[in-house]
Formats: sequence, C-alpha cells, structure tokens
Amino acid sequence: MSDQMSPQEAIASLYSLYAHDVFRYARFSLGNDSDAYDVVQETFFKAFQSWQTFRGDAHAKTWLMKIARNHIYDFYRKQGNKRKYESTLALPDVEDLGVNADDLLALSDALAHLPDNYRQVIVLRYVHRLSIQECSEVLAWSSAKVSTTAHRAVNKLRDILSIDEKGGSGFDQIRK
Amino acid sequence: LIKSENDLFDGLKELDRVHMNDEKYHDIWLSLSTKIQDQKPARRRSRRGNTWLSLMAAIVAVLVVGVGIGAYHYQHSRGSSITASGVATLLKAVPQSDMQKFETTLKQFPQIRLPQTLPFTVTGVSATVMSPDSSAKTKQIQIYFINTSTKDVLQESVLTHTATVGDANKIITLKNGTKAYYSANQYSRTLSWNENGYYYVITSSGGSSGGKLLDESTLENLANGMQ
Repeated sequence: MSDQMSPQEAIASLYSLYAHDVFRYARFSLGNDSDAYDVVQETFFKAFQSWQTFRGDAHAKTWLMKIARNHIYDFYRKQGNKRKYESTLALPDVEDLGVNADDLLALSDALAHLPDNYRQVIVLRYVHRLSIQECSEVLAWSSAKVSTTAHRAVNKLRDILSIDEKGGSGFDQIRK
Repeated sequence: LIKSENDLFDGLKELDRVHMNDEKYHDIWLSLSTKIQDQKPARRRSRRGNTWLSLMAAIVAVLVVGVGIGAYHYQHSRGSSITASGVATLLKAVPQSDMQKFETTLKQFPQIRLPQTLPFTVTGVSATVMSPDSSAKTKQIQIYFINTSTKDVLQESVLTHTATVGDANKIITLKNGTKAYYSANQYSRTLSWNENGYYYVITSSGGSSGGKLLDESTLENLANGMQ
C-alpha cells in the first residue's frame, strides 16, 4: 500500500483487514468493550492522519498495533487507579467450549490481575502471536526487554494460578 | 493450568473469543468516514454575483466527468467481472496490459472468488490455467498478486473440484461456516478450504524473497472478504 492508493482507500482496506485485531488487542489490554471500541476508532483515524508517514517497509498490522498501543497507554494514564478491568473477559459461551470453564475463568481472572506491561506482552505474544521482533516494534521496547518481560509475565500468571489452585488466595496476594 | 507455553497458547485461544460486534464495526466505520471527510479542506464559497456562472460551470463539469466515467466503464467493463467488482480498487495500480490478460483468463471462471483487499499495493497480477490431470476436465487456476518493489506476494490457487486438505496446523471456521485449514512454516503461510465445488488455497509466500509474510488472522480476514 503506498501512494497509488488514496489515504481513504488505504484506510478502508486496513480497516476491513485489521479492525478486529486492533479491537482484540485493546479489549484484552483494557478489559472492557467500550474503551476498546474507542481505541479502534482513534487508531484508524490517527492512521489516516499520519498515512503519509507510513513506511511501506513496516508491516501494516504492526504499524496499526503501535498506534493502538499509544491510545491504550493514554487510557492507562487518564484513568489511573479508577480503571476497572472486567475479569469476565470473553466468557459468554463458555459452556459451548468443551473445556474446563473453571480453568478459563481462573486464567481470565489471572490476566486481569497482571500488571499492564505484563498483560500487553502476553496479548501481543500469545494471543496475536507476534514475533519478539514485532512485539519489540509495537511496544517500542528492546528485544531483550520483550523476552524478559514475556518470561516474567508467564511466570507471574503461573504463580497466580497455582496459588489460587492451592488456597484460593492468589488474587489477594497479588493485590497486596 | 499453564505447565508449558503451549498450555498458555491453548488457554488464551479459548479466551480469545472476543469479537467485534458487527453492528459496532459498521458504526465505527461510518463515524470514522465522517471524521475523515471533515478533514478535507472546505471549498471556497463562490461570490453571489457569480452564482449562475458557477452553476453552469458545475453542470458542464458534471456532464464531462459523467461522460468520461461512462466511457471508461464501457471500455473497461464490457463482459468483465473484475472491474465491476470491489477488486477494481485493489488492482488499480496494475498496468493495463497485465489487467487485460488477467481478465481474459478469469472470464472463463466467473465463479472464482477473489480477495477484495490486501495489506500491500498490488502492482502486478497474473492468472494461469493448468490441467493437472490427463483427463483435462480438472483445471487449476494459479493467480498471483504481487508488489514488484516490496516483493510482497499473495498466491491464490483454485482447483475446479473439491479436494482433501493435507496437513494443517489449525482449523478455522470462516464467517460462512466453511472449515478452512491453516498451515505455516518458515517461508509461507497457507489457508485452504472447499467452497461451492471449488478448492481454494491462498498462500502468503513473500518471506523468502524479502516481502512480508501475512499472518493467520490476515489470511482469515482475506478469505472472509473474498467475492
């Protein structure tokens, strides 16, 4: 996509391909639909405004995720401690999944109690399956920081879940 | 619950059932389009004394543009399903000589569905018909969408009969309920499925030549948007 397409056409194409991905990233990061929809709109509007600066050598999806990340951080900053992460993430049809609903609820809760930077890297690496290099571009972190943070985030999740399994007090401990 | 990274992938895959509400998806696009339109510079208002002159000029301009567009469509869309569809925008940077060959080949197979959008500008297309078996009843149509500068490639291969899908890393259900099979390796990513008696395989293989490999969700979105 470059100067052969008008910015409107290019953004329309990108929206049809990546609006859902941006939404999932924002939804996992922020924990509620309403904020995630705002991020989608702001991301694509910003993409339109800065279309001329988009370099074709960057992957369009990574570029959009990077813009989305900035908006997500804006939400973090604006809402501060008032922010509420809905831990019942995406579990409306849990009965149809054929998997252990308790496990999914536990995982969803555990995600909700992760620090923001841990959740960000988990979402990009394990939900969107971006490579370390791509995560590094989106988050503007070094590759080493992405690897280390991803490793720590997985360990933290594991800790939360195992503590919770033993005594049901894992989330209380995390809150402390 | 998370003994290995694979467990985490599996757990998150189940949790990742968050999808945008379709209505909201369109609402956001409508609102976004309005905002984008508002960004365009406002036209200067004509002075009152020139109202009639401006009106006449506008009518003439509309007629000229209308005739031009009509002539263009007549010239380019006679008997063609390509320029009449949304894929026309996708292929507008393709040289006319390539387009003519492409359209001539695909006219023989009007049922074949094509992507309506790609995450790169298409500067070259080709469509080749082959007969993979001696009976010549079966045809294989090999279509390439490429960007000659960035080396991005999307290959669409269509068999004129259904086929059994080989190894797949993952099964994905498309929006119309069709099961599609995703597989990936270091150099290519592939999504294949049977639909309306045809077997489709779309492959992103730009990685080996320096282009970008499209990921699973992009291939899924492309398949969902094909017309």
